[in-house]
Amino acid sequence: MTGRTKNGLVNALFIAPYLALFLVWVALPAFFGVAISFTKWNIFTGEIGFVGLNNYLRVLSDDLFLRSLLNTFQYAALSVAAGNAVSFLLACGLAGGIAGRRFFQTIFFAPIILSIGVTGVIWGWLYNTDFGILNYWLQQTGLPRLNWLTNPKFAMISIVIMVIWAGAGFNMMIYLAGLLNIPKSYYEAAQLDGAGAMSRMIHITLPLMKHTFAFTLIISTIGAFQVFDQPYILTGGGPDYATYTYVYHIYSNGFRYFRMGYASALSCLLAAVIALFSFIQYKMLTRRRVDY
Amino acid sequence: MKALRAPAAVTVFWYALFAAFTVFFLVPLLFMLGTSLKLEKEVYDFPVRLWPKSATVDNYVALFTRPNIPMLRWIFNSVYVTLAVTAGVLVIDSLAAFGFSRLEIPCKRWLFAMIIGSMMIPFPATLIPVYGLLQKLHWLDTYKALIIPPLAGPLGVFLLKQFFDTIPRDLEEAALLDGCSKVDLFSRIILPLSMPVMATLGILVFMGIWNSFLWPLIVTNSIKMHPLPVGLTFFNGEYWSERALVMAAAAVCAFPVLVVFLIFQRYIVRGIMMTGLKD
Repeated sequence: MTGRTKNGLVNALFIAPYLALFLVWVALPAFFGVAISFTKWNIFTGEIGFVGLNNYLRVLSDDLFLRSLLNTFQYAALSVAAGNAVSFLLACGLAGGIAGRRFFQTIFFAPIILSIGVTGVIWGWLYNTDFGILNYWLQQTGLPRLNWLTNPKFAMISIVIMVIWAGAGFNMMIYLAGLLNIPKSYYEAAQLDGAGAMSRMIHITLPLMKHTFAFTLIISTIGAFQVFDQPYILTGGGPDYATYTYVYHIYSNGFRYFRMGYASALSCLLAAVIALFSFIQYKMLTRRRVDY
Repeated sequence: MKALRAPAAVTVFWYALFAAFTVFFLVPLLFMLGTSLKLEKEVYDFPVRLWPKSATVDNYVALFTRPNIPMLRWIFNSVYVTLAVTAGVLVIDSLAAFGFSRLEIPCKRWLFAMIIGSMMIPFPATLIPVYGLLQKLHWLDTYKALIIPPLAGPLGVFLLKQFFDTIPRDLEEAALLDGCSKVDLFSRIILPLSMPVMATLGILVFMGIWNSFLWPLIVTNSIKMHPLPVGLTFFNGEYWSERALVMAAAAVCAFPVLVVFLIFQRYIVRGIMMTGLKD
């Protein structure tokens, strides 16, 4: 062994503990996840058998697969659009020099640090049909009570409102950083030329924020595809599967019915979609960008 | 934008909007606190009040003194697991990041690329194999299952290596010439210079583990092994008729992190933004 290699192996001791953990708990599972998706595996008896593409073909005849997929798309569209609209609006106000910026920033960001366990318990009671404060206020203003979580038409929207509460502060901070990066002189020049607020937004702010939008939208979309905790706690996927999402379907199959092979196949399909989105994001972020 | 003078109507619009959002963001927290301070029967009173007529801490007392409520056990589980993972990540990841940043190691680039690449794997993809492995090892429903797999996350290694790479090398070359060993280099030069990023990573891991939900939900099934957020959800279902009590439990779970947030706000916001990660 040359001195150099020996030295290299001694040095490797520094990374060895992490590397061992990484191999056992990340790399091998990722590999086995794909392998398991081609099997039928009984986790209790340890019986495992190769079934080829059966698990993947099974999605075609699984009504709940389609249902959960559509629900997830619905959730993603609603939460990404409404969530980012709120975040951007708040960021615009903060960047516009509102008094008490620190105060607002703290309040809008604070829910992010709460566990979904806490958030779910609070909102579950806020939304309560009979004793929740939301319905009480609706009633006081002469509006009808809503079955926030028990009406299939509202349940997903109610979850999205909670998610906006719990997370809008995050993208708000990202938008704020982007907005504060735009030189004020651009706006001053535009105003001298007689550009109104709307046209300043369309011709200066939005084009310069293009990359920021690309980043936040893709990150939120990837997150939205994996939604599970919120419907699990708030509605249990109901009413009538109205909030039964894709990861919920993975969870049910894997950890309620112990169909590990099928759950793995579902996971692999999701991973492929997310990898695609991550790749697009990576390409967008590494593309040469015009900075201001 | 500040320099521009906005018309009065626009200013009024923004303040009205921000007032509305302040209400939206504060009401749920006040409602939690207010309900937790209510007598159980006032919870079902009309009008529904945000704040109780006469506040009481009875629910908090009951939470810790009534038999059959394993509140202390859940707090212990959360504290123990969170501290163990945070300490473990700081030690293991800083050693690894030092290796990747400074030492000659065979296939180093390739290994690091693999670790970074793994950040793209969504968590459901490894959930089932990891669960299977835990089951084979008979680690399900133990502290090991809660502590060890989360140590393997790639985030810390990535963050710390990025930071170590920015520390100038002149200093350590001089130290090495003076006969300083690699361990000394790590512990006496790199680490002391990296305290801010270690603090950021520590807070991030702490909050991530304290708040994590799906993982402990899947790997623990006895009530005694739940960490606080999972215990809370279970408690929520079990004690459905005692809202004030459940809200007190939620507040106990929320307030430690809220206080930490208010104190370390700057680090936390920066850390969360730096990684784009939230459990």
